[in-house]
Amino acid sequence: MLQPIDLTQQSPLKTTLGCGVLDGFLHGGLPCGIITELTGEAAAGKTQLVLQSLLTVQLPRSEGGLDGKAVYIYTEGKPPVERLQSILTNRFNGRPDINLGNVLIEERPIATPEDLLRSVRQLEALLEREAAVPAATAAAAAGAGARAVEAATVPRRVVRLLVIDSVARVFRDAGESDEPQVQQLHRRAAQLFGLTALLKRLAQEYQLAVLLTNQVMDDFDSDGGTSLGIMAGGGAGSRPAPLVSSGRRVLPALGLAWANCVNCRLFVARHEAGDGSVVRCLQSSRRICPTPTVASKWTSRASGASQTKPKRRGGALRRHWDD
Amino acid sequence: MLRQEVVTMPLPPHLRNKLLSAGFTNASELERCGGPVALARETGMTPEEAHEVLQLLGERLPAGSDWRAGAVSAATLLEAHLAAPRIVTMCRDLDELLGGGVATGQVTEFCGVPGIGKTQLGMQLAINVQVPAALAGAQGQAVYVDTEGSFMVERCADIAEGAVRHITAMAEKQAASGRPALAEGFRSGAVVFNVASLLRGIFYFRIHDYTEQLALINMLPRFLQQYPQIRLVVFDSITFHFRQDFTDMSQRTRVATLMAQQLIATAQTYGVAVVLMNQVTTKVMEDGSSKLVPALGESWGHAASTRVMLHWGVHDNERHAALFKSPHLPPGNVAFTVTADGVRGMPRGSRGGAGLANR
Repeated sequence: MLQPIDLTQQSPLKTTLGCGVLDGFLHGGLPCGIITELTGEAAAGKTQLVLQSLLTVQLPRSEGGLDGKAVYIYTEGKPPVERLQSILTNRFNGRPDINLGNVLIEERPIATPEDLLRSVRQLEALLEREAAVPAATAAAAAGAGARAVEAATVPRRVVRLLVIDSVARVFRDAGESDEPQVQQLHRRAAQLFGLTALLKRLAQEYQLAVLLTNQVMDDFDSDGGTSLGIMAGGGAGSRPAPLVSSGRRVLPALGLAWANCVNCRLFVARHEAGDGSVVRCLQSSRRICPTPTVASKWTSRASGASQTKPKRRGGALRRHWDD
Repeated sequence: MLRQEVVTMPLPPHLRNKLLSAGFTNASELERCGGPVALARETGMTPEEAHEVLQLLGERLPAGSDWRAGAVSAATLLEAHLAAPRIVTMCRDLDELLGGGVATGQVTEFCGVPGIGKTQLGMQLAINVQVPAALAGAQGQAVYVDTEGSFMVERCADIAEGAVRHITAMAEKQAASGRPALAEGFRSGAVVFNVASLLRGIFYFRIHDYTEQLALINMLPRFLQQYPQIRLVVFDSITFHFRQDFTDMSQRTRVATLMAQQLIATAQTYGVAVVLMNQVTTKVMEDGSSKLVPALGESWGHAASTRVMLHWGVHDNERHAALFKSPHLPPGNVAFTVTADGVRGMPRGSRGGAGLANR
């Protein structure tokens, strides 16, 4: 029998991205229980953010992390482990609790949607096994020494973050060429919805943050997108404002079906300033909060992304309701 | 009167089904069965229910009814329709577009592209249904069925805060114009309207696949009987789980049609507003162009009596609502905004609208 959930008892978990400004923009960090998409062109800085998140999720709760492990599914060839190591060394040197041992990387090549689905199902088996093991605090019997009590109260790490980098690569290649275009799109849409439903269920059941990256394609439509089919003379309909990166108008790949699947869409834009330096902005195009295109600038350094100049933010300052 | 058929009797559906399953088809058969205890035994009802059924037979028909009980005059219907509470959106233009707000007893559909504000509107309605009757609110509770995981409780709390501020200000205005009852009720604590009470007034369900969705719709009538103060049921979205599990489109249409019939019946029987959020999909027209249409296909168009498409306007970040199906209202198009406090009308003096301020 389905039971309603008491909303007053819900306090959603978030994991820090390692940068105060970005965390503030996301109202605390990457949320657990939903799917967040990070989209942007190739040089925009998505991978930097993603690699950093694999490490920051391992931070203790007091520092904004989730004391967790991360799973990294990389679909664009060999996973960038050296870069990950370099961020680890530069940023988290001397911290034994943050290490590469807590990052599980899918080592088989993921080329098709079926491969990806299989990998996620195996992750589900792993999560089930982790959940079945009783917590480490069991059997800390009375009279146990201080050491035993300390060992018993150290929480066991579970997977808290799943990153798929990128989803676009797996679904973008059209299928068999003898299938008509429309049917290919239908099939792809069905696979996307199926993958999303599975990811959302895992995200909610095991309180994971799910971060998926997506590529962009050029936006050739100059009059604001697909028009409405419900009444005559429907003008612009399908998007709020053009997304711009490196001076080009772009759209996230994978189309409208995919857009319906993700809960939160973040767009990383790359802009070249007049003096030749590069700044990167983060925008939210499907929002958790309603303020339009709130952006914050940051630079990518070897030690990872962190804040430079925070841009003025529009909209009211939010208070957390459970404060 | 003795020829009155069971199917036309104004009975709760579960009692009517019990009578029909036991083989009773009209009133004379009921009279012959020999009393409430015998009827209860034959149909599996409780004696109280059987008594209620037999009492109904003996009731005089209300004035203005037709020769078959269960039919009422149009005048009675109109009265009932005008008296039924509506659920405001807090955007005056949008409320006017809908004829005063979202109607109870009916199914209303809002479709739109991702990010346009369907979830925002759903949350706003789930809060606004709780507005006290003293301010012409429905003073009811809400069921929120989340099929996509879009519901964020922190955001809902913000919308609740915005509503508390708005409603408190309206109560003060009422007090200033000689009707202090509500404001005093807030002050004394007799009337509770705060963030916690608003969140508790929403029965929130999280649905993970289409079988759970159908199970919930089946159980909804029992739930509404258990909690009769519910006036609104939101499905956000009704579409999501139907876009992947079905390879056979005709089966999908059959299931969707059945779902629609159940929702319409539930809305009418329990006098609740059923609000469905729908996705949109692109359809390639004959001339080769692509257009955005509501998802779930042509046959789904009969599910809701009122349909609104939310879409972006010509200017950046401008939101619109277009009414394209209604039982009695003309089509129209209004602009609305989503602020930190929730759904509101366009600010005074802004471009693109009549410039009506927030109510």
